[in-house]
Amino acid sequence: MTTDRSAHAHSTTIADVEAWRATLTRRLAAGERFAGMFGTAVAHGCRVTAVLAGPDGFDAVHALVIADVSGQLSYPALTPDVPSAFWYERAAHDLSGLVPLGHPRLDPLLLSVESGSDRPRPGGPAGPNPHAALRSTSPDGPVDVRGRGMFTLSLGPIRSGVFESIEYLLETPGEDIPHLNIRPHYKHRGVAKRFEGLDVHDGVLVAERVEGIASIAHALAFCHAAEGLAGTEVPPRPRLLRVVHAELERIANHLDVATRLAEAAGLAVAMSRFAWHKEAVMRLTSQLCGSRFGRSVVVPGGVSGAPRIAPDAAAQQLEVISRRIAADAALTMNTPSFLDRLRGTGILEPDHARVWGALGPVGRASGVSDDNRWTRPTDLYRELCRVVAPATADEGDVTARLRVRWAEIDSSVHLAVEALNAVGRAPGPLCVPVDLAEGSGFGLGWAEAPQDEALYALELHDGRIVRCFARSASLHNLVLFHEVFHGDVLTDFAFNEASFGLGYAGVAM
Amino acid sequence: MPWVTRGMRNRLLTSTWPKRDDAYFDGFPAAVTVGAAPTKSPATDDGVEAAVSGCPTQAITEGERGPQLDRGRCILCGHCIVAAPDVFAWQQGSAVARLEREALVVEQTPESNAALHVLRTTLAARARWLRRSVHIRHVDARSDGSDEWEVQALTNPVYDLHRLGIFFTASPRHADILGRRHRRRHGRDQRRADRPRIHLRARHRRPGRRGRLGAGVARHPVRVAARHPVGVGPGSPAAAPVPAGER
Repeated sequence: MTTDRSAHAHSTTIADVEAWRATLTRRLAAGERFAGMFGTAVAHGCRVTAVLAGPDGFDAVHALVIADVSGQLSYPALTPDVPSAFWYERAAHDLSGLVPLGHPRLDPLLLSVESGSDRPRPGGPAGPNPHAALRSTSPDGPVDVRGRGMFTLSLGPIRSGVFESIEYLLETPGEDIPHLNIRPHYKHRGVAKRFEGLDVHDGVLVAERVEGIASIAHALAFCHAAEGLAGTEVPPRPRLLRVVHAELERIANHLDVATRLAEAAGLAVAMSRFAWHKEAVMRLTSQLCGSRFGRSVVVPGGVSGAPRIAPDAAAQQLEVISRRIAADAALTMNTPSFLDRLRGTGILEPDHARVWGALGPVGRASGVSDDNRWTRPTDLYRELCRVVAPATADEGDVTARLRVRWAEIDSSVHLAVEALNAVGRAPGPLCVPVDLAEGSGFGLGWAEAPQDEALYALELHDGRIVRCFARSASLHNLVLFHEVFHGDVLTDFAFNEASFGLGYAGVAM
Repeated sequence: MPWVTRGMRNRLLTSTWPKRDDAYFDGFPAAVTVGAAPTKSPATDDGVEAAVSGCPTQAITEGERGPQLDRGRCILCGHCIVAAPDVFAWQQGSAVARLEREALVVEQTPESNAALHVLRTTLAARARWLRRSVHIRHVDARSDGSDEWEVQALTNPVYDLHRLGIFFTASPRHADILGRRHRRRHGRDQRRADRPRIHLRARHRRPGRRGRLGAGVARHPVRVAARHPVGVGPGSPAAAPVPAGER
């Protein structure tokens, strides 16, 4: 058995921030992918860390930004050369106070506070409560398109219906949407500071709640980082159970997307049936572990307990659900009134997807084929994924994203059933100790969430979390939402939004 | 046309709760219960102490009559059950909502039937003015996203909230109740909608106008039991895990 994670996660420190920037641009030009960036408060300044994704794993590249005489933490912005750093630099500015010089738009993304007030500064000591400085009203949003008859329609932050809070500023002449801006900061939750001071056994509980609909994936990414730091090898039996829960979570998320698309198209029966299938999957999850979202299942070192129903009974239930889903999916994809709304809607051009590093079903539907279960496998995916292939498409529209999700549901069912069938004869205890009581160091962990890749950078000192960068899948992909409105009208908005399938809690950290 | 027959293929999927018992409702481990240990021993005391100090949200305290669990803070992580399995256990059943925040603290003595009767009578009296239907306006105040899934699930065919006369409305003007998702309500996996802290606002009928639509909210809305919570569920408000040094 290989410890894939620790072998493929590296950490490099470059003292000079200019040299750091040059290294990043050179490596990205050579084909690596920009996976995220964050700041960690240190004495006299801020350590800025960029994470790059390569074919074998992830690399964290650190540099130190020293505060100048006025206390400002400025450095030359990455965004002009690395478009996908756009939101990460804004997030680092909001949370850590870093000032990227030359950034095209440094508006608040995750936190909107009165100018000049303290930032949360994750990684540093708890300062005065930054939430005391939260703006009670937001200034008007940016306006990027001017013309005769143009106005800005503010959709949110309180949405009409049962939705998470987020504000979309649609710039429109009345019908189509030439441009939109996104403001997720209304839902700022202070997640970055929540991790600090906890040990890894409590930290995983926070990780599960960063993005509540992808709890398993976030817990997996966090635990992979912790296990990599401790050098722990998780036995096969808990690895298989982790796969089962991760795939059940993926199926539930994709069914949620299908339900919302059917609802947007007015297909009431399809919507009800997909909602029923999703309910069946969540009930199966709760029968296995006592929690509909798989909470408290994935723990550092393995899983918290044995399945509460027999694995073969669970496999049979899943196969019944899968047959029903397949039949309803086939009928849905043969319903012209539904397909008419999806075809050609919300096109994400493959070039854009590649430049911006699109991930997950959104990226795979635009030809960017990077699924961590195949590319950087963990938890026995390498063995299980030999007989299924990742789903991809090229058209990049809502139909393509839905077709990728149907294919992923099929492969997820296959993976989960294989894992359930193998659990009975797999060796190993359900959990092994992860000895990090005195541990210190920096580790990276990842998992393929239903939305896309969940990436965790974990820094420990004496067994306590100093900094945990929880790069949720949704934070990475939501910026692409700006790029998918090509002549789409206001009534297409619901389809585009549903087809992205993102959780806004994961964005609004 | 195929969708018509497809919709009838699996017959009736809807639960008959509350008229009849629902096996999922009755079997779901929606809360942690506190019981007296069969024998008092140093091992049990150590376990309880570990549960108290190890609870990530400080939901467990030592009371005069033994450990107390505040279900309003509990995030159902199960650490206490591992630490002291003869004292803490999963409780089967989803009927865990309470009328008052204070009633979420679980002691070793169970609630009496008289207390439950008072609770039901009080709730019925408060709900009577809502007549036959209630419209709820949902607001996300920093949830983690799973709350929205569970609230949306109430309108799926299995639960079908509409059969109980409860609807979600997009407009606050049409709402009878504001349902606010508190950001700290993590980790509970109740089958029913977690009952949020609900603020009641009766829509004031202007003279000469009848009916719900168009009445809207008058300049001075009548507040019934103004800002008084009518239903709270476990997890409201639960704190995030607290660093060990502060426990």
